[in-house]
Amino acid sequence: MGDPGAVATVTQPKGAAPGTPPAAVPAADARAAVGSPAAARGRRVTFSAGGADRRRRLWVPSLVRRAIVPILLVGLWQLGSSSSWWSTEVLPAPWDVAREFVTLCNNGQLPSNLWVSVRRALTGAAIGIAVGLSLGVAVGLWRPVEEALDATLQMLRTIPFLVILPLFILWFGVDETPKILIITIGTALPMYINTMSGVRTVDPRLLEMGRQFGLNRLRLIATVVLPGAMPSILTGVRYSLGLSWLALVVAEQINAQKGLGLLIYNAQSLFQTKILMVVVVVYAALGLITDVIVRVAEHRLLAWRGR
Amino acid sequence: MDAVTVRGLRRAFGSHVVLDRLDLTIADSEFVALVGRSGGGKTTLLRTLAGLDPVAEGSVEVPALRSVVFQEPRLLPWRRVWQNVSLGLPRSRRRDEATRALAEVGLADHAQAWPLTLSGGEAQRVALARALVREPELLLLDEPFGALDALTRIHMHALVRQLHERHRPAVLLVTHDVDEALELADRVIVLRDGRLDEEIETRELFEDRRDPRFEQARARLLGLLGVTDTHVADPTAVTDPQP
Repeated sequence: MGDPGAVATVTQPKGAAPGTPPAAVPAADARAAVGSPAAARGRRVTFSAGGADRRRRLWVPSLVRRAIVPILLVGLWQLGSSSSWWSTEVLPAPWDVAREFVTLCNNGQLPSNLWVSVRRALTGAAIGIAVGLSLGVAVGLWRPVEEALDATLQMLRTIPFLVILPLFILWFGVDETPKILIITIGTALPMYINTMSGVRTVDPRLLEMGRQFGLNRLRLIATVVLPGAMPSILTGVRYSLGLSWLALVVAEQINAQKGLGLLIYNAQSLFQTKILMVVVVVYAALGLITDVIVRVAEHRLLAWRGR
Repeated sequence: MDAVTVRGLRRAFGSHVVLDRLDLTIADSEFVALVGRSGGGKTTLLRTLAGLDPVAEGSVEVPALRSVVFQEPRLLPWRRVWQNVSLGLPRSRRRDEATRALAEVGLADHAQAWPLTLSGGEAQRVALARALVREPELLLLDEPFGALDALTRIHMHALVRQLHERHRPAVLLVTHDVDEALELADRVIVLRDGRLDEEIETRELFEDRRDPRFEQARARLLGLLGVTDTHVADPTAVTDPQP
């Protein structure tokens, strides 16, 4: 509302304190005075422009401000490694990790395994998101579907889905199927929960309006239900993609013949901490990238809410 | 030809009878205002004509081409203004017709705007454009100006009258504002105890507010709605019959 740079000055009412000149009180005191009606009674407050000098700060781009803490952490990490606060066998220096990254890229180990893992995660997440979205819409809109499915899905949700992995391996073997399936399950459930609650919050008066203006069921879902539930749906997508990387790590711990999991497995048995750290950094980057993608999608799809 | 024919319509919520074997006819292009106390079944009748509420007893005959302006604008906040207006139109003529309809309500400049940036009056004008763009044979207005400020309401009244002149749909306006009813409608009907209690032809009345018959009609309508104070005869008095 008010101009943040405005300055409030408080002047004593005429004759309130004989002998003392009307004092101009700084803004903070003016605000404090508002807290107590007795003290504020009779006082006058002036808001005026142009008092912002005291608050003017150096303008730094948001991206730089966000990067400061990560850069400091890496700097500390480098400092600690160089000063031998810990053995580089246990935690190698960031510089060495970066060099290892280049080596792994050049000999093709990282790109090929990364591609396999990314494909797994995205395949599983895509199926999971599609399933979760459809179930969420169906359960959110139609009572009979809710009665048939909701209790079961809520029950499944309480199972830590990763414990099913050994079973999946027994049932489906050790190839791609159990890995993708575990990612699918891990992503479908948060997607379902968020979509359903989003669909439930869609204003019924808008649904009624849509029907009144001749939208059939499919167009009603496309133009009213899904956009109305979009904030929740995007939250679901963000959770799901986050969980897909988690599920991937666990899925690849068991019998990985290819993928980042294989890199981890080999590096672990040979005590190659540099490679382990490279993979950790790669996971962090993947998480960051997915988050940025969802943020951009949010910015575009929810532009109607205004900034 | 009649646009609306209602015969013996009955609607009850539990033991509370809202519409009691009600009969109503609205001619083509006729502007009818329905007044009554709140909770008296006005909106129920309008929703039944809109096809939003079921007909349990009696018969209702309405044109297939009809549209509603609700109490709230009910715009989709995630669609631009012109896309809200063109909702449900065939794809080929959407843009042109929406632009034309928005021009009619004086909002051509806002075609690309998001609904959340509109004022209450502007949003309700968009709702009016959305209702008229499909050239309805019956236009149902459910207290569409109730939430607007007095000045905006005056503008809206003029706009609605002008649009009715141009498009000539049959109109049912539900309102609790007696002055609004007298100003806009050809005929004012009073819904009381689930039945249409009184009808007042107002077609020639609103031409001249100083006509004593106007004041008589106003006093009679207010009386029917339970306002019998002495100040009713004073045309400058506040006359909202709502409790």
